[in-house]
Amino acid sequence: MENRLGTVMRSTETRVVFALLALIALVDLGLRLVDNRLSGNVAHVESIPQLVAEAGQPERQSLLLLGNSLTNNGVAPQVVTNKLPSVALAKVTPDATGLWSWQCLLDHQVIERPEVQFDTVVIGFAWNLLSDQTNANASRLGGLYCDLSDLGRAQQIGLKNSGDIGEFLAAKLLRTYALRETLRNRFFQSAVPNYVDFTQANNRAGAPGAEPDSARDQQQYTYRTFTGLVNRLKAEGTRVIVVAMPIQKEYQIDPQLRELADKGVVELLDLRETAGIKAAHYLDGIHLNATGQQILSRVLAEDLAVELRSST
Amino acid sequence: MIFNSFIFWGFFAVVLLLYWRLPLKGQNQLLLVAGYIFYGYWDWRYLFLLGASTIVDYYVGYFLVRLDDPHKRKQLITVSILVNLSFLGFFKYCGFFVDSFAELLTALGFQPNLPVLNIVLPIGISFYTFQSMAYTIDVYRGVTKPAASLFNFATYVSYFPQLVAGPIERVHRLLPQIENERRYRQGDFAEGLYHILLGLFKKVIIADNLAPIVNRIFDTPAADLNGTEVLIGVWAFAFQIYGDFSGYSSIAQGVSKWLGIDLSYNFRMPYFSRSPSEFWQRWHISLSTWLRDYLYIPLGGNRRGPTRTYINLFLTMLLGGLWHGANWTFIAWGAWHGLLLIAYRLLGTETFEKPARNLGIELLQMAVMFNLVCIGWLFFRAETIHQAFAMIGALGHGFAVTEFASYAATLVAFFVAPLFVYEWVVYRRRDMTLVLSQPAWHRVALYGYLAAMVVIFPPLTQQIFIYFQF
Repeated sequence: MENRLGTVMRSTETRVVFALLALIALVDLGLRLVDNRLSGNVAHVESIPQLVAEAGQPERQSLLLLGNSLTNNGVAPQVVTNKLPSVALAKVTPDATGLWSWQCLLDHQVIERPEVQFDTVVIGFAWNLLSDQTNANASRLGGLYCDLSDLGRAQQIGLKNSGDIGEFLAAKLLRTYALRETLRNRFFQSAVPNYVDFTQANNRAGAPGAEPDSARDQQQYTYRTFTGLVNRLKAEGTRVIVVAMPIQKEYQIDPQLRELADKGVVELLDLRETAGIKAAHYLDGIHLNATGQQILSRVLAEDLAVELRSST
Repeated sequence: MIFNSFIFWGFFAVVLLLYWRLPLKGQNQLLLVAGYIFYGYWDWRYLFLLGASTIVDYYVGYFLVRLDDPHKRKQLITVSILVNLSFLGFFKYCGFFVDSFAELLTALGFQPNLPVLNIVLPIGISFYTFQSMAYTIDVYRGVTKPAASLFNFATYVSYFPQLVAGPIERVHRLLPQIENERRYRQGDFAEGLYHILLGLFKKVIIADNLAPIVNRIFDTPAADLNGTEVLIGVWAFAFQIYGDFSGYSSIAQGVSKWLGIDLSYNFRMPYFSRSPSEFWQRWHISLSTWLRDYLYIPLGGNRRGPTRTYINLFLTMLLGGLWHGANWTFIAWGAWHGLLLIAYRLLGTETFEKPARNLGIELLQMAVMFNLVCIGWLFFRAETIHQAFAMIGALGHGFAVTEFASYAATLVAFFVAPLFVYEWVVYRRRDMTLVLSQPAWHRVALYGYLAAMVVIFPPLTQQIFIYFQF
């Protein structure tokens, strides 16, 4: 048996491995060709360089509205541009992002691109998404937002251990790995009954604000990475405004972040309790519905208009 | 360092690159250093425990073959057993016995003021102390020669592929492989690759994806569950623990194969067993043979009549349960398996060990055995005995297909069914490495499926191996 096996394997096993690698490469290549059809979010991420280039032209007054699904659901760009007609606006709001993704996006799509210049960057956040302690999704960073060269500063882009670095590299190498959550969700949505409902319930349980208040109270938050990012943007002539977004369950703005605002490092708009927004305006306790979006957008546009006027 | 982590594969790549460039002594030195790095990566302080167990058992073995006085030899082996069991007793069971004693005193009306012990369990302690203890017992019995040197013995005890979750390798099988020149044989790469890919699939895809479903069901009060949900929960746990543990063993086997060392099979499709004794010949084989050789047979085995045989079976399984952890749920699990072994013996075990008359009967016997094993898993997974009984009671809440039940059942089927079909083919053909003797495209297809699943469907959160806690 052993001899027979040995004979079979001697000539074939290397070919098996190469065939397997070729198969993986082929699938990955195929996915790269069609990945923008997988989900609206992936298509949005792929359109970011163009969105930023179109709005961020140096000769125009421009504003980059950055955030995640909170900002995506919360702000209608049309309402803002109606109020600020002279401002070119780019809304960049990929799902499930926070400090670490935004840092890579701003570094590579704004700061390092000489042809791009924004007067203002507005970042919508909640909880402690701007702190150094917010979790990094190494796969998304590697696959969607950061460059391979960022590995040289692994700690500064939120990669905490060898596992994160491995994930980052795997996602950089394999599109299939980087987009596995999207692929998984697409497949299960069609194959598993009630998948969306139970997954959303699980997501809510694991959302950043879902940990007990006591755990958040005990955590010490720092803003070194965010401060560095703001300083880099300021050096390019860009002012930074952060907007505390409303969610149904109350959350505290971290004192350290308030301190940065008090020192003038960053400007803070607190819209957590926006007049007119009620429980009925939330889709799921976190994201606003269309009516809520209109209310918040009008308030934000007013506030931005005041802020921008104050700088001119 | 866990097998399904990037750091382990980086570590193993470095070991492998150096390993095959070294002579035997260098290879063993590398294995020893690698074993201690691998273990120390969790908590370097417990390296002293590993070292102490190694030194004590080596010198007990060393003197056992140099002493003729039976009394002194007995004293020596007692020292080895006491030291190993003391380590286990202190780190694993001390807190449990103190707590249980306090509960007993409270129940009797006393107000005990016993210290609260928060002892951290050293990872894999049950595996390496059993392996090391088996060595001294075998040397004492004269069935094996002692290790040629402390260095060789330390390499044997700390051999990293099986250090923290087995298989518990016997000295006559592993030590000669450590001590003798090893050659990379044709077929080792292929077999190692097969075991590694299959093991990763079982751990990452089966076990870790089923964990959230199992956790959700076992975290729900039994009063809020119906029979369908309990069944899905316990079946899912049966495959979770199988994927977790057999996956670990499979990766260990593959990694070791690439180092030119054969590890034994720890699992052989256990859920196709038709009787409890067959189950224990297929599930955690290295533990069940250890318990047979060092507990059941010394207790008298089946040589002292039926009643004594039943008592021996029950005691062996009870202690097997306790080996898994310091909790009444594990003891109940062991007791359940003891009772199953006794019940099948009373029914006539040979009936279930002969080939079945037809496939239908064979499948029926398998289905019955699987569900009996699952009753045991209820106790094993439950937080308390009370919870286990409450969940059994929930089977009486009807078998409606709730939204959650259809969601969970579909996911369980999606992850488990392909493995189940594959293992059925392997079982019927009685060849654990069947695919290696098939045309190459079979392996490309199988590995392609395994790789695609591992890349696209890993769990959203990584889970540690369940058996590390034992």
